[in-house]
Amino acid sequence: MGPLLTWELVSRYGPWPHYLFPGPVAVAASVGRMLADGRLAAAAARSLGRLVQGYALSVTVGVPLGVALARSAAVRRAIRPIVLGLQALPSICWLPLAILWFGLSEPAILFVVVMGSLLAVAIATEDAVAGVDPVLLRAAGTLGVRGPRFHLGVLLPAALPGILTGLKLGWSFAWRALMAGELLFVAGGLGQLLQNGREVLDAAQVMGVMVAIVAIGMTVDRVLFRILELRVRRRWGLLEATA
Amino acid sequence: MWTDLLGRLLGPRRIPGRGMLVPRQARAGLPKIDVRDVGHHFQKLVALHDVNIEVHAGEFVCLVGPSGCGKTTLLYALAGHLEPSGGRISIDGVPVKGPGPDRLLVFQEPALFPWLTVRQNLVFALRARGLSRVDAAARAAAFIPLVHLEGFEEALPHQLSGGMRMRVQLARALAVDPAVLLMDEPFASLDAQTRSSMHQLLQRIWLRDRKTVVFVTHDVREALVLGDRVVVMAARPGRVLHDLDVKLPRPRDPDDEALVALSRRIRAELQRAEAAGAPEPDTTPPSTTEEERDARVAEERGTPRGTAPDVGARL
Repeated sequence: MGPLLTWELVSRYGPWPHYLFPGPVAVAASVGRMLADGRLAAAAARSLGRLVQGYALSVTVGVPLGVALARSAAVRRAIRPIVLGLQALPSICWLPLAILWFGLSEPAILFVVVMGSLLAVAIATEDAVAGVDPVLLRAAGTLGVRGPRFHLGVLLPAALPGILTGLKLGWSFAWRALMAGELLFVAGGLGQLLQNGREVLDAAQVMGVMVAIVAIGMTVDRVLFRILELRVRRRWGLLEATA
Repeated sequence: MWTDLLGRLLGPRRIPGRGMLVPRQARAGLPKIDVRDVGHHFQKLVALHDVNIEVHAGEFVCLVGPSGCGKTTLLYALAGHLEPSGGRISIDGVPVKGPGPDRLLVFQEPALFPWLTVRQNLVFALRARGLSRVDAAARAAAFIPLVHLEGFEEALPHQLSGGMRMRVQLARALAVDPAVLLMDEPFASLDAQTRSSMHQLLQRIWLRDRKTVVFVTHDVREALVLGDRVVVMAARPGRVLHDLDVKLPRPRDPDDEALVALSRRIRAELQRAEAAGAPEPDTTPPSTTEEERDARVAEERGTPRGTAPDVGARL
């Protein structure tokens, strides 16, 4: 309660004009208005729709890519330097190229999201697969487990705790890339609602959307992924028994 | 043979275990496993030097020796997880090239898939061997009670004790039913009590199924409790010192007087080999026949052992 109260007091009695530095009451009212007229829900749905598409693509390409990187020296030699190099590039830097390639369209923004998360997912998967207990690989070898049964039944489950960490990281990268993309490239979504607020000099709306972005990010990260991670770690026996 | 019987009838034995450990008798027929002149080196280190071992179907052979004697290297070569740098290994006359369904390696670690329950671990292995879902489930259900794990079918490996996990691995290996079971110090990490109950269990199961087993251990007593045959190995370079038949009656008790005396003798032998350092068997040409080798082993064993550092005898 303390920080909120301080915020409200600073906004009312501080040196800045109230319309540029609104307090929590004004921000809450703005969020309420945006919820009531459906703008926030529509923008969030639009953003999340893009995110899910881009992220799904990242995972379906990134996980197999990571497995290939970990398991094949040839693949590693051929593309690991590129993967590591591109990883150093902030994903929003892909936007100009994406616009050249795909025009001002949905695929351009999806491309930015995919480039933001794909490599993180691939690198984390590679680490996780490379770190799989060799005893399990030998056990699979002597039991004659190979082919798809080996990859889907041994390798991926054995690496899953590490892969999940990568998926979480990939998700937050995708989320950031999407917000950056939507801010620069106006096409609906939360990023645009944010820009909108600036255009009409409505700082309360800007802050309200920021709060919504934080809330969505935290929900996915702290709730969805946390539950998933806990479940996996418990099943895999990686947690201390909490009696 | 009947002298042994006479000795038992006439008064107390002076030397417990006498006649219970004899140089390996040549067996008729083709061996199941044939290890011929196998050598292996890791860079400069000679892990195995000119190893010759024949294992017949249904034999329980223990490879025993100090760390560095190449026993595990040899086992992994048998499993096909490692290709020796020299010599030939064949199973039923077919050269070993990589792991195969006729052999199964049992590890020192339980090596269970941690995300699968006890039952699922067995079913997964059986499905990989081509069994249908129904058959795999039925077979898993039949083998879990064999290692006394009824009621733990749906437990996850991390919920079990170390001994129970080893039992699951044993059940998995037996359910898969390979022609040859290769065991790499499977009980080394267990406490004495659990290990001894695992010995009883394995003996009981082996007496029932008469599977061909090659069992690696550094524990001489464990080798004598379990093995029909004990292949004593020495290090630097890894080589076979003795190949002995164990004539102790089964089931064997690790605290049996004869068994303890024999293990003391083998340990003394190993200590002597270590002290000597120089590769003893190298004094004879490497291309000895089975008979020559046996004769040599008999000769060595016949020599008085007064100078051997027999720690046990002094105690």
